[in-house]
Amino acid sequence: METHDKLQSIIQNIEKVMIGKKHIAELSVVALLAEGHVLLEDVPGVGKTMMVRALAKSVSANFKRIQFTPDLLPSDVIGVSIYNPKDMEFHFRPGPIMGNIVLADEINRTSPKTQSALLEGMEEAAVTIDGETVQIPKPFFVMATQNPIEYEGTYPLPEAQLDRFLLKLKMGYPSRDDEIEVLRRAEGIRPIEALTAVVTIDELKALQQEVKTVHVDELVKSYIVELARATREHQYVYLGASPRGSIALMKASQAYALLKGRRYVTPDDVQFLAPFVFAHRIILKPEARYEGITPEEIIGRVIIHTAVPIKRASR
Amino acid sequence: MTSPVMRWISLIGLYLIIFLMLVEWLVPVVQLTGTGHIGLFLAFVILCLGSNILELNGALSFLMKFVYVVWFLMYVYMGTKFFSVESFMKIAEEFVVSIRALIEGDWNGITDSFRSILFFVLLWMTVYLIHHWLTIKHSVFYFFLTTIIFLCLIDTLTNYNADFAIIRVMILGILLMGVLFINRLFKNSQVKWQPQYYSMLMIPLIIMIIGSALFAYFMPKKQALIRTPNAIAHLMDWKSGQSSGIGKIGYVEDDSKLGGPFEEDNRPVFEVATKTNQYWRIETKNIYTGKGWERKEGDIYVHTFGYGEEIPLTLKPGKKKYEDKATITLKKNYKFIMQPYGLETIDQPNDEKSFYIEIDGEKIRPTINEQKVFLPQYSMTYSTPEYSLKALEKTRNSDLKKLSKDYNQYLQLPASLPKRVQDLAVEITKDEKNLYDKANAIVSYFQYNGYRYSRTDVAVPSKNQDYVDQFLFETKSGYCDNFSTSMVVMLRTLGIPARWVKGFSEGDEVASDDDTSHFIVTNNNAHSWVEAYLPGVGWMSFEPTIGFDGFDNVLNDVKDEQNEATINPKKKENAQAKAAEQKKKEKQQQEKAKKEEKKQQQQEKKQSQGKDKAATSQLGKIVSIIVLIIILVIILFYLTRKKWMPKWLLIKYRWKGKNNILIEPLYNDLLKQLSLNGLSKAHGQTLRDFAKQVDEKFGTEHMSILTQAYEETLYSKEEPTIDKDKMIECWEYLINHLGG
Repeated sequence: METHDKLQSIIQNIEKVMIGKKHIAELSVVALLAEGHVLLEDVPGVGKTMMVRALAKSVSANFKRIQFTPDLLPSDVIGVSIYNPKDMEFHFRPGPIMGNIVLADEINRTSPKTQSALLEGMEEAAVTIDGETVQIPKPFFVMATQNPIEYEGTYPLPEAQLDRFLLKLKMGYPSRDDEIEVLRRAEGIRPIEALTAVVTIDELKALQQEVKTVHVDELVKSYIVELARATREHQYVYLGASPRGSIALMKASQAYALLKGRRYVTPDDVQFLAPFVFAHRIILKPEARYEGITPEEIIGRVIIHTAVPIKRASR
Repeated sequence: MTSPVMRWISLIGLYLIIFLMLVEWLVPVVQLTGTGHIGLFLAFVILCLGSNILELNGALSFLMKFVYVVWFLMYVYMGTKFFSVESFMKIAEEFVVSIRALIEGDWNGITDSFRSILFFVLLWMTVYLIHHWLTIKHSVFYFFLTTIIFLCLIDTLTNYNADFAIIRVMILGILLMGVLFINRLFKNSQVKWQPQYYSMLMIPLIIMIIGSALFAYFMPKKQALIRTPNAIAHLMDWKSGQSSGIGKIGYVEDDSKLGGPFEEDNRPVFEVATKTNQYWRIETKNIYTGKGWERKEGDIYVHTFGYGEEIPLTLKPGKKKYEDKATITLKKNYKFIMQPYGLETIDQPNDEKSFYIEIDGEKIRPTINEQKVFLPQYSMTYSTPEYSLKALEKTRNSDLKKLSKDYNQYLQLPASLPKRVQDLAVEITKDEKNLYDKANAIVSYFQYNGYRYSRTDVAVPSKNQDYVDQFLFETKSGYCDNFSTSMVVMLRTLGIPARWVKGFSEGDEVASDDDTSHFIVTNNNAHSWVEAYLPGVGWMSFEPTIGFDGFDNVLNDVKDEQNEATINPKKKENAQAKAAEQKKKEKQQQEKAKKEEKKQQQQEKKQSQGKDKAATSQLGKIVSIIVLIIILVIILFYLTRKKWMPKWLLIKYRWKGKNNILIEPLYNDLLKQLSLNGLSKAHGQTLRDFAKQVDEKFGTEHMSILTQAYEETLYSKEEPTIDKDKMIECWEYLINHLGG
């Protein structure tokens, strides 16, 4: 299947650069295909940026990077109108958000004001400057990274805004063997330089359209809803997954199914993606935090206790 | 090195429990079948269990068991304590005879020794099966369950009281299962067998068992909803017809265990040609045991006499003018005489035979050379006794004290007789002055106090129950034996000498010429009634059974106005007419004819009703047995569905044909079967995950392939991409690996 081959070639491309992080690559591609954004949370130096760059290179997309600092202004993100004395007019100078693939590095180190400028752009796929709305070119894919919030000098993202991200991923350290391999590769020319695009922008757009045609059966839809509802009813959860969360899970599942070469979503896809889609959308009660229970654990329990639909109700 | 020794000790412990449970099987079986020699059977069980514990060589243990069985047969059936070639040959001969009988289907030809052999084989196999469960499967649940079911059935359907047996088996069984579970825990978790671990598990187990047993024992219990007295005897009788003495109506010698229902049997016993119809007396019985009637043990004293000689009966004939003749033609080879009341002499056929009468029961037997013989036809002279009402009214309690010691035997009562029987007798008779009225008060009591005549709804007293007490106060339903025995016992509690009489009632009149009527007496006429000794009057017969007319033997010699309440209490309505009868002879005959007719009609009615009732109750029995069997079969099928379901499904889908098979039912049936085999899908598990798990278990990929196909039908819009043949192949592979 051609679609499948294309998608696999993206993954393979990324894998040339990122060692032992296939599932992160896959999930990033899932988000890209589902027209969502990714929040990568981890300590510095585990390859977050490399991941995004590899992805951007693979699809020959316009890659932009914003390094967030405490003194960064919203205009530094979305762009600014500058008065040109020559023709006595204001000219719009687009900011770095105007790219196909944007890396928003260390997003929690800037002020909430600047953060919200980015998040608004992600939500609307457009920015407003001096009353003028400027569309962000498609495909538009933001990959934000943040340090774990325990680090000093961070402005945690407001919880309500976190659900702008389709997936929240954690890189994690590479395994021992993988790390040795990383070192080995770092000796020579950096492989990222050698990467070539395997998919064009147009092809990517076509793939994004194809994702929407992946069949989600009523059974699977009901399963997604049951999962979302279960998170809301869980005793440790203060705020569960919203209907937007359900939609996100469905879209991600469609993309994932396509990535796996299927034209339909199975409960396996849903189960696999649920932690990445829901974890940052639920707020735990304080007692859960005291007990050291993470949202991922809650979602794991919800999955175990929610019946997988394996039969049509009636036929 | 403690481990193997301890293990061995624990094995012995297990076998001890098994042995105790087997005892619970053997005791009721041996008791109910009257086999005896329980000790020797138990010894055999010990031998079997022992040889298993010691893991004796197969041939050696076989030899030991064989020798034991042969010795048992010699000891029990031949009476030889040690081996002797002669008895061995005899046993071998019996064995051959039985085998031949078995082949010919002649079940009665099988000897007891052969039955014992079969029983031994059964025991042997049972022990082997238990050994298999215990050592290979480490689970004896089935044995436990069957033991419980067995005891419940035995307790419900027979006289055997399994109240405590159930408690014992429950305790033993749970202990056994607990110990085996602990053993399995050790085995599966690979923990080294150590006494302290063992006791850590054992102590709570034992505390739990004792606690729950005590709790259960002291909890209040509901009474049983249904009483099924001796249903097994009932069933056996229903099945085998005349094999058991109980159950089928007719004359039987043994009355030591009364009770239980009767079947109709209208085969004729004898024919009578005589002028008037009457009861036919055979014998009396004097010793009431609480369960039935028995004869005095020891020598039987007899008095011999010949044709035409006066017979020394205690019940004296009436006046000569009522002299009558009766000719009896027997249809069954009973070796005794049917006595009419007032029998004087036996006249015909006047051959070489002589007679003797047994003093204790007054049974008359024809003999040749002191051997009892069958006398097919004989005629007798008799004079129906009549009793003066005047004399009867003079009988007083005080006269009883003057009776000689000889009458003490007619006052015998078992020590176990509940007091309330006497209380009732006193209560019934307290208003009557003379003994005759007292006796009649008892007769009347049965008629007006909710007692019912029934041949089918008749209980057998349980171990600690008195036959009379049960009838009088609990069941209130029975046939002649219940009524007559109760009356005898009640009379005796009042100090009135009484005895129980067995014989036949009148029978059906089939023809009559001028002076003689012909009656046929069938098994249905088998009957029992009462004779009481009234001082100054002598022995007199009474009929307490509801529905029987009784005796017209009281001569009305008191003035008309007074006698209404007396005479036969069963014929109060006829009393006046009877008084008039005496004066007008013509009328008397008309009346009599009418009465006869009525009686006959009544009897016919009674019989047909009885037959209907018997028929419906038999139908009910058959239906309930069929229902029971169906339920059992369903339960059996349900319990073993794991085994046969896969095969059935295979046949079902093959028969359906490839083109008609839908994957959904196919796949769901498979899931069900997998779940029955312990491979059930977790609630939140996806099919794919589950398929992987199944495939790992079976070492294939069939489940994953099948699951993919199913997933495609379930979650996608399109038809599955996997070939149907392949699908069915996978399915059959998996289903074949189940249940087999």
